[in-house]
Amino acid sequence: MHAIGRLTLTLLLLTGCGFVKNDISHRDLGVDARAVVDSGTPTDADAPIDGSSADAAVMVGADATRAVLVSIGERVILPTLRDFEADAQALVAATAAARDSGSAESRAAAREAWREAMRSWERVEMLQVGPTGLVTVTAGGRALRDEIYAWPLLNRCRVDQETLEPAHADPALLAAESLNVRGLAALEYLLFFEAPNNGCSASHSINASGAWAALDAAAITSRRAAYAHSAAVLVASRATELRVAWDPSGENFLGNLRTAGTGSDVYMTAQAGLNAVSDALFYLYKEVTDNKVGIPMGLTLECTTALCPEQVESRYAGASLDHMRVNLEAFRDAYLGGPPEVTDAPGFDDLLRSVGATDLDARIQAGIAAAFTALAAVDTPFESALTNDYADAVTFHDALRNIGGLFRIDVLTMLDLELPMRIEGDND
Amino acid sequence: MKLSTTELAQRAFRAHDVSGLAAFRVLFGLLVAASAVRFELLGWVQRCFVEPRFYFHFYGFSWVRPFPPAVMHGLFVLMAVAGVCIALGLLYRAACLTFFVAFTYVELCDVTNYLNHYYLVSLVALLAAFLPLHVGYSLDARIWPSIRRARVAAWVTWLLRFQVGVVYFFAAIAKAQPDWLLHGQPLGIWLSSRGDLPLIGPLLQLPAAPLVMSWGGFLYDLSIPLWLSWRRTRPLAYLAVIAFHSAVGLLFPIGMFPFIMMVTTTIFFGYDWPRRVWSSLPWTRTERILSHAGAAPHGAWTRAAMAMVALYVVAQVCIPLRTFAYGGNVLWHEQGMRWSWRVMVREKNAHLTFRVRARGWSHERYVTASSYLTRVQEREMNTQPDLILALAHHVADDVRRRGHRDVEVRVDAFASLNGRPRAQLIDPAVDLAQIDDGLALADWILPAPQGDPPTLGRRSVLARGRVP
Repeated sequence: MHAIGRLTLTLLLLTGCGFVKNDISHRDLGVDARAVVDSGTPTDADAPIDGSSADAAVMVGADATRAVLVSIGERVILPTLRDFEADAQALVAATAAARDSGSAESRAAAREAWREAMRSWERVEMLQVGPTGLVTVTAGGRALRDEIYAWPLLNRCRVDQETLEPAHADPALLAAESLNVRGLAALEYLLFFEAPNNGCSASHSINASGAWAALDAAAITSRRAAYAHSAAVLVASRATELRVAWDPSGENFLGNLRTAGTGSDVYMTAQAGLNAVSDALFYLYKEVTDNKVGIPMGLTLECTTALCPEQVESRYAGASLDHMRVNLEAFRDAYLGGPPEVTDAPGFDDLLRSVGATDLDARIQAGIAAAFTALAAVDTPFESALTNDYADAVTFHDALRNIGGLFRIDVLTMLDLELPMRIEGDND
Repeated sequence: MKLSTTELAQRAFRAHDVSGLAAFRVLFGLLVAASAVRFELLGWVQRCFVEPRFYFHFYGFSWVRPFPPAVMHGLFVLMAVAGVCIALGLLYRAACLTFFVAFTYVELCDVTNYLNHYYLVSLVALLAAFLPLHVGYSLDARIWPSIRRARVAAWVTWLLRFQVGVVYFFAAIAKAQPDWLLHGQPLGIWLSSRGDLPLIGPLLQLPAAPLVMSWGGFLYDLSIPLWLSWRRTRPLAYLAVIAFHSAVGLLFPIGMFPFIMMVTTTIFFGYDWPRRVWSSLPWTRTERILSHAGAAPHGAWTRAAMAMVALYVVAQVCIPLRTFAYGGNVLWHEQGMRWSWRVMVREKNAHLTFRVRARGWSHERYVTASSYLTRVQEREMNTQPDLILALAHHVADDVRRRGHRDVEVRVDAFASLNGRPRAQLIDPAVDLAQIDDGLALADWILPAPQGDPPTLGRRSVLARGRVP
């Protein structure tokens, strides 16, 4: 017993004295490090990341994880939210013009403004960290995502029903309505569906009462335009709320990534912060692969027929493939720690290479590239591709599954991450 | 010192102070009561026994079903009450049996809830129901003086020590494999993410930490019953128990496990340790009961009891050993994994997609487990082939209920074991809907990937990135 106690104590002392050397290797980092910083003493932790190479300090352990979180937050999430806020404001202006003028040009401009807003929003869809996410499953979540974009919860009949209600022209009243009649999904229907018919059954009250039939096509178009503007105002309001929640000049949720494990109220450890980002990236696996691609292609049991084109996202705008391209770009950027043109951003790729998983990183990056290639080969719009270009759609689906598989098995293992919506429980 | 069988029998039936057993009973009762309350307060009764739409049955226990929600909640209240009764020694045998039946039934409801320490609790509860832990220092002994005894045969304590010792011994056996002892996995993976822990975080990031801790854990499991058994080393050994399990509980989400081991290892203390501790206090005066005065009575009933004990001991040794009958890597194929005390010896992540085909379908359809399972169930099922098989059958049944015929279910199942690159776990060509679960070696489970697990480097990034 005494010998064991001495041995244990000796080992502890030896490791504490650095007898067992720290063998941080920079072989995969491409530069000669000028300084090695052990965990607990980061340098320039509060300085903005400006891409300068003047100081090539190495962050290790939890500090390395925090550096990745900061990079993703500053280079990917916050710029995306700022872009979306600007695009949402532009959408408000465009829908106001369309409501006021009613001209074909203004309607076309409103549609284009919606497309731009969706391009920035679909990046946010991939980055549902913190306030964007659901309260029950996302640390720091405020469920702002559903307030802005509740797809696939769109109910066309309910939107048509709302078109007849006073709330359609009053954002304050509309805000009290359910999620499936407002937001960007409802906006797509209102802006791109031009036929004067509605999506309700003949026995529905708006048809049975004759209320809908009492409106001529111009009135329906006018009401939809007003409704679109009301919905856009609400979206813009939430967009600002979301940006303020993240912005250092506002509520500074970004600060939680910077201080994960060193004082953050949301992320008790840097690993918890990394897990939050990892959880968000599972959107590619669950939402994109299964819901956006798999269900319309009839590849899941949720589709009870051979194909389910009615389940295609943004089918009225024909924008589904564009959305998925943006989703994939956001996934790539978060994985790399920043846009690909910013070559010095620390990301998941750097963490994987630092722990020795260079091959895994290469496979993931190759998988992302393959997914982009496969996506580009699919005919536009996606709804048409289901019947005319099914083989290419299958290739794209397989490419997405490949990335998802690599991420949820190998990346989770190498970085000791957990599956999303993990519920704390005992283990042994 | 060599003991003859006769001498061993004499020692086994030598009567000793009952206070040590009474203390064990009190601690165990309080522990299981607290565990039941904890389960309820954390909302796990709802999550584990009400919310799921599908339950994985243990082989041979498909008849076990969760009761209606109110009854399930009531069972946990019942368990808490039973635990308190055990601690008080009130209606002791009924309380033990009640707790054992309720707890074991609850655990049998869903395989994905299986934990080694829950299994231990069931076993100890079963033993306690038949052992005379209530004959002293209990309300039963006060209410019914006829049962009161100051001394109990040594074999009672020995049996409980054997049970706890078995856990440690086979936990050590589980660690006696290359991943753990030569490569420091899965600890290398787990420690890599714990650098934020105060004080010890930096130590855990050192390259040698995984192997040092792996060997430490192995040697601890292998030897701690011995150190606890010897009086001279016992105090320091129990401090090691507290330190070890506290550390493990701090590092990993293992719930009640540390407390269960800290409580059950008190059985290794002396027979009369509570009395000695109490009498050592300056303000007490306690009449010391001779620890081993006379032999406990034994007759035909006792011989029958000893035969049952012998069978129990043999079973507790053979059940964990059954894994070796299957060959291969049990951490991969999981046949014989449960009830073998393989505690925290693998990091295994998996991902699977069922491929379903039915008559008239132009193409296969993909089904993910999340369509049927809770997140916890899915996490556990992904890595356990027999559960994958069970869900495949459920998927097939579901598809048939939707009116389809000639349903075939195959699976693309990939898993990573202790950091190795992912490999296919199940033969993707096999129609699992045609496979029946059983105890025989499953040829539809693919062999474990060869090759050593990786040694992880320490996470590092350049604060300002690479020079372009």
